[in-house]
Amino acid sequence: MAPPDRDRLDQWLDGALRQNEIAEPRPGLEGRVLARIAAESKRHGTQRSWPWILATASAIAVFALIGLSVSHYSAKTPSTAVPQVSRNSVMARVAEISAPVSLKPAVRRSHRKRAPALTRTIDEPKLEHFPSRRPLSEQERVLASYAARFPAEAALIAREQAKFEQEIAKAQEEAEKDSSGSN
Amino acid sequence: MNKVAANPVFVCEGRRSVTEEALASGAVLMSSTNEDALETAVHEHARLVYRIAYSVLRNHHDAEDATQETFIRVMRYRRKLQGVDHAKTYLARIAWRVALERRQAKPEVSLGEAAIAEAIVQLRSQLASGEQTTLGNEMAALLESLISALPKTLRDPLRLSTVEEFEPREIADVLRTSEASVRSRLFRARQILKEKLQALEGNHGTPR
Repeated sequence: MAPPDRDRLDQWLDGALRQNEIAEPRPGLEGRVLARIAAESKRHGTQRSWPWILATASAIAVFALIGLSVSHYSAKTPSTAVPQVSRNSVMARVAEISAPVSLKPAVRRSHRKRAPALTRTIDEPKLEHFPSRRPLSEQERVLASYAARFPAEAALIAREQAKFEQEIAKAQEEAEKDSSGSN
Repeated sequence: MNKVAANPVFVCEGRRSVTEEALASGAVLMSSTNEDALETAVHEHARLVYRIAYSVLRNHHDAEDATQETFIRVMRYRRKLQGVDHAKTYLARIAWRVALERRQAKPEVSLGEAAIAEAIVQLRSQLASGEQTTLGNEMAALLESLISALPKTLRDPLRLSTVEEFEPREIADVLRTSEASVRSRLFRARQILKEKLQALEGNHGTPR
């Protein structure tokens, strides 16, 4: 192609490329983008907060369980067998501790003589099912929901709790040994 | 290092607000937790992002989707990204990546012989008249197919060069290469396009 044609093709190509790329968005693009961002932000925030809410609720429930366990042992009720680490055991433990407190001393497995506990006995109806059938409390519902959604984490928490209870039981036994030894 | 730290930052009701200077520098986009910074970026750069997306996707609907996707990614990851100095380049890079990802998902459309012939007729007519008129659909499609056929290293700078807000230095920032490299690739890309157009014109014979 002769030089003038080359120049013409050059110029044509310049113009063609510029024209080809001149693209204007539809009016209101910014508004649509901001609306989409707002929707995504809301959705993302909601999705991110649920695990935190459940994790916080379960952490509160676990600490409450531990606190109740410690106060339960310190009231000199006999130690019970360490519950099996499972989801059902966590729920059973929750129901047991949340059940109406029995002031009747439980059956003691220890054969050592002990001073009788100064407690009042309140007769309670013998229940066929244990734990007692009653609606779950708000805390128990949250914990159940957490355990259903995050079984691995709930099992981990239950294991840690069981370990803690073992340590409490051990400490309790040692304390009783010392006290019976000194008596 | 985040340049915003050098600019006065006001704390208002526990939320960080920034001066206009910091906003203008673009650095605040990445450092401020204030939603207004993102909104400002949308107002300032949405059109640029759109045109970058359009240069790749060649479709208004897809370009707008890509624009929204770009700003959503900015919204999601802005807290993790510190030390960004220029919002324009930062957004351009994300827009470019989003557009390329979307383009890969779409099949290439090949041009028929009839369409090519019609395009060449338009080309000859415009060259003969010496006037730059609006590209016809066939000519636009032909040019697009020629650009798509270029090697990636030549195609990418050529596409970005047609976004009028971009200079070679900025193209180099987006493509993470040197300005000199961008200039030489642009030159080479145009050469190849001209050679191909001349070859097509020759193949389709002279007009009667």
